Amino acid sequence: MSFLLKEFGDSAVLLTFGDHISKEVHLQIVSFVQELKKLEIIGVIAVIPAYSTIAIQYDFLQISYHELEDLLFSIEYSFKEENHKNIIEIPVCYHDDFALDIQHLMEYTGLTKREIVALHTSEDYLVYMLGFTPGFFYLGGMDSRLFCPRKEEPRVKIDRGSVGIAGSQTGVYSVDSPGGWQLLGKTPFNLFDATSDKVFPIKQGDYIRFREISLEEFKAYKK
Amino acid sequence: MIEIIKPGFYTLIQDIGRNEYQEYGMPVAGVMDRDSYRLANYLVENTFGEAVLEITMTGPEILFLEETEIGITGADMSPMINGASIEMYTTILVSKGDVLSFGKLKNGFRSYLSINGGFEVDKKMNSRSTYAYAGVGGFYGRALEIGDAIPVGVRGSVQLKKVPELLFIKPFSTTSIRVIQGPEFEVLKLGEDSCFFSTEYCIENNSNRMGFRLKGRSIAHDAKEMLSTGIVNGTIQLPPEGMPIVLLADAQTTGGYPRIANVIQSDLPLLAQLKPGDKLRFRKVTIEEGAYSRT
Repeated sequence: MSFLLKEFGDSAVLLTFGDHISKEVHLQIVSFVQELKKLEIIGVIAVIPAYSTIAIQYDFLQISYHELEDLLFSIEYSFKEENHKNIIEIPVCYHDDFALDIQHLMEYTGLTKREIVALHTSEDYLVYMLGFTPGFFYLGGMDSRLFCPRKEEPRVKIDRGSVGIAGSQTGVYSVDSPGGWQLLGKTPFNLFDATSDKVFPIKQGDYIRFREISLEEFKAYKK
Repeated sequence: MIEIIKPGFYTLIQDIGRNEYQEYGMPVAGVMDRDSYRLANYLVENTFGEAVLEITMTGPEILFLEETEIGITGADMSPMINGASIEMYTTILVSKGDVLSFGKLKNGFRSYLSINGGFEVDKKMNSRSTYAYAGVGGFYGRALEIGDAIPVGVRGSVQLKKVPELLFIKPFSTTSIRVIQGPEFEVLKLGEDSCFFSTEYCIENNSNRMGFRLKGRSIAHDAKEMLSTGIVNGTIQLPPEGMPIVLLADAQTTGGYPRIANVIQSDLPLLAQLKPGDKLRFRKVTIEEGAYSRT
């Protein structure tokens, strides 16, 4: 268990824990970030954990590269999963009004709509990382029967809350943006609310469980 | 309070941005040129971190509803009060009813306008900076528009100041930007590293606060698929076709292209003052040279 440390400009370092998506690497990253935050190192400005890397930004007027390097190598971290899984339920309406690509998904996967929804709501998906847009999470663990390539022609605008599939991934658009995911539903749950006390309800290492709701429930959902 | 008579091309409320939410995918935003930003706040004795207007390419027209002091730094857009030219990089006293306007862009690309007390919109996520892509911060999360009335903080007593000419922005025919080799520099094919450092790049039209797209000789590389990984202000990515992209204030926090270099902090303000069509060249330095160039 170790990591590689590289220069990343004059105000960041890059820690690499592996070169592929794996739960073991992910758990090391989550644990390392937790331990790093506990240290409250003066001069460390931000942490950007991803699938197999952590970028750490620092202010070189407060801490030098070599001081930071020594501190980072002294951190003890583990790869054991905590007993408590933090599962966050996200309500999704799979109504045809929102499932804009359901026909294509049915044709590609050879499944019925009911089967697609049943498979999509059957897993607890691990949040490997956040990125791309504010509050957007990269999930792992989708059933391989749902794999479907992204659209050849991306849409110019997709509403935030839209739920889609791209290759082996599933996810939720966190803000209005262009994109090429195959859409199969929409959630009224807000992944990013700058005015809320809890701006980002989801963090790296959480688990996501999609729960099917009706169009009526979608409309009645309290913000 | 000030009132926007004309907004200019793209005028935003900005401060130093938000660092702490990057792990949730939130870009930093904030001013593109931190040096000019600091000098603008210095002119009106604002404390560090106060919000200013970042003015891009063409200036706004602004009505002052009370007497106060302002400062203008960065790009020279021929600023005027009631039609008469005023100096940049110096504290300017404005009276109630005065109108600030701008003329021709003479150099640079981004001007910074500070006001005694700072522009006092509500903070969102610990910052007043505008991240327009997601409609966060600043004035309703967007660029300023006709009729916007922007609140201003409490006016303190200020001594008139001047910034030494040495610190004004300087235009170059080709700007030299210092970089540190990035974590995936080795994806460059043999001999292509010298190509990256010898090519004169031109800034493309579709460049913005998220990043600058560059045009020059394409760089051959053999990058494999990469997992999404962290990006910081100044990271230079190399997409498949081999034309580098410099990621800036509004860039997303993660990406999947090889990161071949990072611009040093001291040279980010130089980049911020370049406009589409301007030329630049990269020069390799070490992290020690990068850090010491600041002190």
